[in-house]
Amino acid sequence: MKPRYLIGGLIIVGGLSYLIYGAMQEAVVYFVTPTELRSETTPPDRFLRVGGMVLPGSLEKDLDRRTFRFRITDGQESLAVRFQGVPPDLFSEGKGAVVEGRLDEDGVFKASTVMAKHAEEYSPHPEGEDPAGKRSFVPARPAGG
Amino acid sequence: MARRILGTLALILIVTGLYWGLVEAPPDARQGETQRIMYLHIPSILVAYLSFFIVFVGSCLYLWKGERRDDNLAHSAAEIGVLFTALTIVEGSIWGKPTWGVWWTWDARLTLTAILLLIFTGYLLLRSLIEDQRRAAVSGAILGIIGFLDIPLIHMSVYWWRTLHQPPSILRPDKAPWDNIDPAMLWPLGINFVAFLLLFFYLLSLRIHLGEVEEQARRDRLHDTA
Repeated sequence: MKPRYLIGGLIIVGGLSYLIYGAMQEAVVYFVTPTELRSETTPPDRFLRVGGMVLPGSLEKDLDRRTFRFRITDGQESLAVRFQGVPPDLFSEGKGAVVEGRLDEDGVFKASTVMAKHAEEYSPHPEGEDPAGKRSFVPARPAGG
Repeated sequence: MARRILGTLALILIVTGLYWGLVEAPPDARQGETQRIMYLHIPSILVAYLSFFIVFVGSCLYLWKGERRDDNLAHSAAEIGVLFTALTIVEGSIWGKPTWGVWWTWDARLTLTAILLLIFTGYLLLRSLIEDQRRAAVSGAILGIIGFLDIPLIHMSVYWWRTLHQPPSILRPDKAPWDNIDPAMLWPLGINFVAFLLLFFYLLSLRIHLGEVEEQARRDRLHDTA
């Protein structure tokens, strides 16, 4: 191989490694929990992801203004979140969610994106329950089969 | 002839599996109709894993014994692996938007899968840029072995780090597939997986044949100019 190819190759590999390293740094700590957020002083205006469960009973919807208020919890601490927009279908109380945004001065997390986690488990609707609009050609089996 | 049978069988199973998965199987209780993307998404990534495992084996064999045949195997499998990795990412993205709420996010699993696609696109590029056959094969083999190491990382990423992506439903030691997936959904998934496997071996045998024809043509050319 000619030296210039080697140098070019090294520059490409070096650049790629740097990009991959940077991406992985972010990806490894994909989100922080409310407890971790509480234990460190996070400067406002820093972009963050916070993950946990949507605290049951905490969700308030203002559909006219498309504003959602809820708390994200990790079982110990919880964090108040405000989000204006359309959350994904699977977003609901008691389910996992990851929010992206910034912490306000008043301690409320202003989310620009709300993401819902889903389980690795798949099953049809329990027998007899067939919600409108959900087509099913095969009779549903008992769940957990 | 054997290849034609393989191709026909793959086609029949793909049509069967898709009909079963997209029409016959019940919609998921939580995700509704969107969950049907699973019938493509899981087989795609499993075939991509297999492709790069073959790249790994072929590359090791080539570095050890230096036979053209092993390099052709690795190169062929890499091309198909890139195809199925790209498919996996597209399918996952379409699945992610309605369920997660985003087309893409930089969590460890998605990032590492993007890196896998990048490495093996680079592998194909590298091979096409190096004129000399032997050098292309040796460089390819080294990159192919390194690139394969990304797969255990992808698979374990959902256990080792916090991710948006859920843990595996199929390839895991602690739970059987039928503990995670209802039989009414596991059957069409299994059929699609076998269908994708047959399609993979069909494409692989075609691509290996193409590599052999190319090699023959190269040899003939050398012979003519000599």
